[in-house]
Amino acid sequence: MSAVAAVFPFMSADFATADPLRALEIAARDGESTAFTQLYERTHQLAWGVLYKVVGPSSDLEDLLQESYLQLLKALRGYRGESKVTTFLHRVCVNVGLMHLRSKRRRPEDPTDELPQTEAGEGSDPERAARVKQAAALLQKALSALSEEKAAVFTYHELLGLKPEEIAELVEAPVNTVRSRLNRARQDFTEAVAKLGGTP
Amino acid sequence: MSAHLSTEQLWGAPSAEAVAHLEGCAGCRAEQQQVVAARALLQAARPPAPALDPIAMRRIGVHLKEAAQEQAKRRGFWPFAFHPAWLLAAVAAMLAVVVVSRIPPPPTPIVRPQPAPAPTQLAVTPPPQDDPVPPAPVVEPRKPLLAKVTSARKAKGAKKAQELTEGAVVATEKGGALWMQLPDGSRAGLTGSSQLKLDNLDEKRVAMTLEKGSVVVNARHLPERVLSINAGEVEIRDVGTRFLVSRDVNRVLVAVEEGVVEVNAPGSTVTLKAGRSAEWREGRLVEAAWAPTTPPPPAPVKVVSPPTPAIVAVEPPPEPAPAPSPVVPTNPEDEYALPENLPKTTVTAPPTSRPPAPPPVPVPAKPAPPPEVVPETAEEEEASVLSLAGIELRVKKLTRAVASPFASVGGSMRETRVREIGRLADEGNCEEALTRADAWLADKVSQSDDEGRWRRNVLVNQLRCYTKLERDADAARVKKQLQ
Repeated sequence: MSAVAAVFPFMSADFATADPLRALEIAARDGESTAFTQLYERTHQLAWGVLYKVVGPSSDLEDLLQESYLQLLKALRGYRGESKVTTFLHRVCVNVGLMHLRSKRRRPEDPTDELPQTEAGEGSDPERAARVKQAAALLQKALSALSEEKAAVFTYHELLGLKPEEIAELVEAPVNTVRSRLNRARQDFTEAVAKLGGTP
Repeated sequence: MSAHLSTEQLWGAPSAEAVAHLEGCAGCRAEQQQVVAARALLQAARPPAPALDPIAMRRIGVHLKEAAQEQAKRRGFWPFAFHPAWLLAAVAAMLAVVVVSRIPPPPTPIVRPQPAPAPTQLAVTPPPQDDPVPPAPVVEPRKPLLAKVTSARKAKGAKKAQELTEGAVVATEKGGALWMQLPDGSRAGLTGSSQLKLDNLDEKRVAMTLEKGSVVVNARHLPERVLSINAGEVEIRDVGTRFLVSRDVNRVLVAVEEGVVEVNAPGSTVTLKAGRSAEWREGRLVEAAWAPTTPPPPAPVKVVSPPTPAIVAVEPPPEPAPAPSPVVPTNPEDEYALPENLPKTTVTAPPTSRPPAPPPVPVPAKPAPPPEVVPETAEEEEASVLSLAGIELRVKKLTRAVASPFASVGGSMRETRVREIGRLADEGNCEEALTRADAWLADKVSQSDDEGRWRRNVLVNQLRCYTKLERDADAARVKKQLQ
């Protein structure tokens, strides 16, 4: 018996196994705090990965993860179930991450936000770790230089690996619009990297 | 195009034409190099994500559970709060409040007019909501107090030194008198054939209802206390004064000896100062002068047998004595001097359904019963300053003055002319009174049984006017006729 079936025995097995996250989302939307906790336990790795892809190695990741789920908790009320819960969680995490990057750009440089030396598991190769650190800083600056729309589609495609059709669902825009927006985002990103002098 | 060539995922495999173009275009090749470098940067900057620290994961989970519980509480309340049933109930409550606010509040006991005794008065009574209702003054816990009877003679329901509570009714028989001390130190005195109900006795409000007869009030000036008397439709409120309230079958008279009182009648409010009076009759509040505060002249007294020093009796008036009295003037009323040129103003009530012709006015034509003064104690000595007997006489005189304009209704013209002569004499218009008296005496005598009484009245008024005008010879002639 799955956890969903244990929590909601009235649900049919087919419904619970078809999209267990969906069942948890429904329960969480109806005020079941236990269901929301289970939804977190099942999806936190996914959210963590998305945030890491968007923000990069940062000491703020845990806070951003918590903030993402708080945003999800609020947004569940307006969630109509037209997309998968994971897709919805993707969008929330990307928005939170990009918001974090933009806020960091407006803030003065925080010295405590230095990348940990062993963050990427490159402790055995200091030279490579330094390259990763330099590339991550360059990526953050180049991403924050993009507009909000371009940064979103660029992140979805280049960092998270989503297809244009999936991105179109997330940003609620036609697929061709997503493609053209992604093309311009890529050009802007390349120019920004060249301007910043980053040639890895 | 270079971007297209570098992103097979996005656009699919590059065409042979695009590859051929790239080989021949140096700019495109440079641009492609930048795209490749940028993608390499992305790959380098985003190594695989490390695993989330389990401790941090649990900490975040606990925090999220608390947040979810908190939101569940809020969401559990607000949907209930905004349930359509509640909205309907709120709308219904607002409508009820609006409806209730438009309903006039019920009159408080202090201002509820006593039922008018005369049907004619009922016909002209304005609706209760038009009454000048004073605000109910008391919100604090009440402390009911007692009134104490200081003297009583021929009283019903009370005797001397008796303590009276709220709701008590005291009455006097004909010729009786009763004085009581109110809890605020004020004093109230009932004349004969009077009845008074104590509606409210506390520190904030002293309210009485005069059901019949007359009451004299000697009120203390206490700003925090309201003293009021209801007499039929009329409410009298004082602010520290001495005044008289008299209630007849279909009229209420208020006369002020000292200070100021406020008279509230349906549709009319009059503030009376010392020396002024107001009479409520037939839906109108008529203001007139009131006799000066000097006590009435001493009447001839005789000791009642058996001789009791404390009890004296005023000689009864001769009217309607069939035989002429040896004393001239015999009516004590006529010996009391009224101020000359009585000013008179009329406060008209709002338009009512009053019939065009007022009904006959039963003016108390008979003289007052012999007033008796019982000066047994110091309090009664004080009361004697404002003699109840004198008050009664002045009430009758004022009643005659106010009622004379209505006297022509329902009575014979000859009697009406007698009343008019008396009114002119009261007002001090002696020349006119004498002219009318001569004309009346010269007219043909009627066959009425009251002809003798009317003639005597005319002669008495003639005598008053001659005396006032110092026409001694004429006065002596009339006096001789009276004898």
